[in-house]
Amino acid sequence: MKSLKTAGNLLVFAVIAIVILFPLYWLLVTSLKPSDEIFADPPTLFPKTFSLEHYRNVFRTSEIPTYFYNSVLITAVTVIAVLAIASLAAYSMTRYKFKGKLAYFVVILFAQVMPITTLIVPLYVMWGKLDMLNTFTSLIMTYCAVLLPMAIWLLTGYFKGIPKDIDEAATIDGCSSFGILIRMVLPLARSGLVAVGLTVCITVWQEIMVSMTFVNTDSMRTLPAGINSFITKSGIQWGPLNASGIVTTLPVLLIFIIFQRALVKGLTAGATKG
Amino acid sequence: MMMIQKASLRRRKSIFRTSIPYLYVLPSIIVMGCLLAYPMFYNLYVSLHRWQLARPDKPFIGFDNFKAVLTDEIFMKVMTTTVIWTVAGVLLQMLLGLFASLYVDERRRSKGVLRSLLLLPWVLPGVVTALMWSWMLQSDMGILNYILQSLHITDHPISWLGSTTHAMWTLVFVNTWKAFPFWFLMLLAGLQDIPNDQVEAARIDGARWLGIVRYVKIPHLTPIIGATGVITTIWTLNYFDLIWVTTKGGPMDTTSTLPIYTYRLAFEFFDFGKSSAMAIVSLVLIGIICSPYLRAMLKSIKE
Repeated sequence: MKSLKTAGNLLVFAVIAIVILFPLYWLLVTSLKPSDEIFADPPTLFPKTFSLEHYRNVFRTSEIPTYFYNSVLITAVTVIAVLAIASLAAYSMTRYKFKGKLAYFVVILFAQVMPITTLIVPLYVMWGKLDMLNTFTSLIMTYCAVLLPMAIWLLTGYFKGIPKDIDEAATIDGCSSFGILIRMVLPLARSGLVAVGLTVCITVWQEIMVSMTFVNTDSMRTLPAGINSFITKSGIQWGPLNASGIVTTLPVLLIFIIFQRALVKGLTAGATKG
Repeated sequence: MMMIQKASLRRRKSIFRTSIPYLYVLPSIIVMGCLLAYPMFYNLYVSLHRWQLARPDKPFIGFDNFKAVLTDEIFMKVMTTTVIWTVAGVLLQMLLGLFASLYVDERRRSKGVLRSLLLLPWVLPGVVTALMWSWMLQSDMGILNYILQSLHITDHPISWLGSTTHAMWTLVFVNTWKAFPFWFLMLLAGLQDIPNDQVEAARIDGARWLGIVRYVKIPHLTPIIGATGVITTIWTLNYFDLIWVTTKGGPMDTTSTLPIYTYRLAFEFFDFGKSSAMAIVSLVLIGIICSPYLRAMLKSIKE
């Protein structure tokens, strides 16, 4: 009876592992096969010969390195900007009483559910009028605006949990209000900042609609929009495409592995209290 | 003289003090005001004009764009597709997430490994998910058709993304694969929160596994299911990447959901007026779906 149960568990485990891992395995393996083996019939489940030719192609002859650099830059700046602006707002929301606070919070709440399709046309027209299409600034500022409501909402929750006694003690020691935020609140809210930062990072890293609309110069594209433009070209080159997929996945996967605990904690913080 | 100066200094100081909270929220107000609020009203303005890229004049036409969009024969098709995509997608994600979380919650040693494993699809960039699956779902040389044929489940290659009958459901399943981990994560967090003695007590009373799930675990998860349901409904309804990269709404518009159709109206047919009208329709729809959630949130703010 007990061994039957173990066997059953093993089977469920195996099914879960295959359903999740096989697609990823297939992505990786295809990127490592030489071109002629990719289309072999029957397909080889394990490559006969490993080849790095697609990676070489991707890094030497394609624009992928440029896209990669663009994505890193845009993601990094957006994360920093969102965290800075949202921290200031969340600090004000949890430490001060002021007129219009409720209205501000209501707007934040509604802004979170606004679909991006209501923004894409007007923003496109706006950036066009400002002659700022095809700039990183237009992408970064759009991402900031879209992600700020969520960031402020979550950070307000985190900052609320930091006791106000600390503020008072610091004020007596001659610390200014801004100093309290920088020296006391932010270090104490570190896990919240990490969770919000990661969410912003993962979202911006894979964003496609805004970036393919506002940017159409080849050298200015982000990684996801760049890969996507590969697909529509006549005749898809699956080898380089799979290799590009791996290149796009690795950074987020790495970040996920390093910060998994903080990310999971951040995402489920509200769930268990609900 | 000194007195007056001192008083004015004090006043200036107090003005500064009362403005501190506003200074902190100012940057966010500027960014969101310019890039969220203003565009939203601008969107309304565009929707009331005949605004096509090919024509230089943009006359005011009242609600004609809305009329055109809502009476368009494709509109009902898009709405039906959107409902199937969203409702079927969210239900499948929920069921899969529920089973996965119940299973993993009862594991001891393998819990950590399983949790990381099950979160992988969720972290995978949307574009990569789309290209990975479209590679596996290729009708002539895709691995899925090869496996199905060698197991004799089918005798001919199936055109997963190219046929009008299969494409939508194929995409619903791929999206379920990608999105169920969020449900899994939320429900697992809820399950771990259930006091162990409640489960033990139920077991002593003779409850079987199904009984414990039905009468102890599910009731405990209800609030989480509600909140996660609203969030994932909005996400699924607005989700663009997977469909755009794989089918662009085709074949024959069978996978055109609201965001895909809205986007195509603007950047394929260059009819900004109609696209903006369509975007407002989505906004209203989402507002209706979210209203219970928003109301609950508003109540919690006021407290």
